[in-house]
Amino acid sequence: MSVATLSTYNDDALAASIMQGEAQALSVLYDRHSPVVYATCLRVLNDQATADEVLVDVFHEFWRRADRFDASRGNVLTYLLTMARSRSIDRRRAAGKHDGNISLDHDHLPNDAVKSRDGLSSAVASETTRRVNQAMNEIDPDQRQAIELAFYDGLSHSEIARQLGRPLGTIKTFIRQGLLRLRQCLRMEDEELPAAVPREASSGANRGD
Amino acid sequence: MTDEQRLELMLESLAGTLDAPDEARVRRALQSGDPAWAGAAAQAKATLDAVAAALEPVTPPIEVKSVLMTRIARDQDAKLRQRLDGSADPHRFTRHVAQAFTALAALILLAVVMNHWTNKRIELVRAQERQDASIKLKERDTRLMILQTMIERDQSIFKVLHSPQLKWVDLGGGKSKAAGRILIEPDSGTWHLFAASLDTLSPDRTYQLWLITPDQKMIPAGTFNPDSSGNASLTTIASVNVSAVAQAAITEEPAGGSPQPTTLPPVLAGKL
Repeated sequence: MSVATLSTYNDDALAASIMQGEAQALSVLYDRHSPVVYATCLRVLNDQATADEVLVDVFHEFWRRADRFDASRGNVLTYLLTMARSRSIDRRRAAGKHDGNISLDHDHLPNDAVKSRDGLSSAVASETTRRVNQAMNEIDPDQRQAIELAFYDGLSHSEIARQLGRPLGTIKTFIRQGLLRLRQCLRMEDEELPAAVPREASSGANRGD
Repeated sequence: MTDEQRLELMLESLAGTLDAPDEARVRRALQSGDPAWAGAAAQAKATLDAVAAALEPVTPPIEVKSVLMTRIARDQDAKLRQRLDGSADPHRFTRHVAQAFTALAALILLAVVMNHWTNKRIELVRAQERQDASIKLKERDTRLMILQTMIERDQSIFKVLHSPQLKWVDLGGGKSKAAGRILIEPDSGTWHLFAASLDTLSPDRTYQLWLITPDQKMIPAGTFNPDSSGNASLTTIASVNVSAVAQAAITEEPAGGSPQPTTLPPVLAGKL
């Protein structure tokens, strides 16, 4: 099957093709979601070489175990990101890296890893990413920091409290209120969007250059 | 509880910020299968999933995809080789032949064992049959001997009964209902005793026949025991001529007999 045809497939259809052994389908899926997955790996690992390896592992594993993906329980992107996050955290723990000094901006990235934000116009950026980024920018910075440390670095509440020099109760409050605020922002986004705008850009969207 | 409150609890549960009692409450609510709680769980999970998509995308180096697609191609080659006969594994044919020989050897061994076991069984059965046949033959021979003896005796009695010189003595008792008869062949001096309704004796006792001369001399003529019906028979050759015998009597004696009667009066007696 041609890449052009496969590019019109949504993620669930691509997953079904991958299950049938269609390597081109995996190639299309990789082109579509590798930037977001790679960003997650880099965010957790803070090391390009390891992030490269984990990225390959995640998509290779999806190729080998596509039959384990259950569309009724979530979308393909979430599945890939969950796998990328957990493998990155495992690799980081295995390497003994837990310096706690995690920068929240992306300026520390190696030069040959192109920031898609610079390289892509807003027209081709994921709609989901845009919405979530906007929502994340609306919550309190302390709350966002606590959420990101818990989610990307896999730190426990106690570890976050220790790293930020804050009481444990405060950290728990940050995370709770941050998630609630995030939820509210996402819902408000849903209500403000015109009906013609697709809510999930990964369903049938093509990746352009 | 409103949907909003449920969603807040689910978010806090997923974030791990709930106290233990509230966490337990949320778990129980989820396990109950309540669709309202299931919906709240789905929304909370979607919110957390959104965090994953919050990062700005970063295009990976192009060689990463090359590495991935090379691995994919290698996987496909390996699968293809497995499907083709004999081409994936150079030792596959040898392995299959070895497996076939092993299976054949196992079958042959099983056949040998079964054959040996079967032969042993057959031998045992035949030995048992031979033993049974031998026993039956012995039993038959014994019966034949008994029948032969009975026939000879019956022939003898037949001959006695048809002898013109036949003499006989009827034996009777006082109080008992026992009775007897003796048939005598004068030429041969053979006395044939037949008795009935005799009492059964203890193992240390027996009946004894006496031939009595006119001068009351008691001549022992043999011992016998009745069967369970009280019947008895005895054939004996007297040591005296029949003309010298006046009476015949039967007494009860110790087992093995006695030189002279030890009990009187006799059980049965009769005159010639």
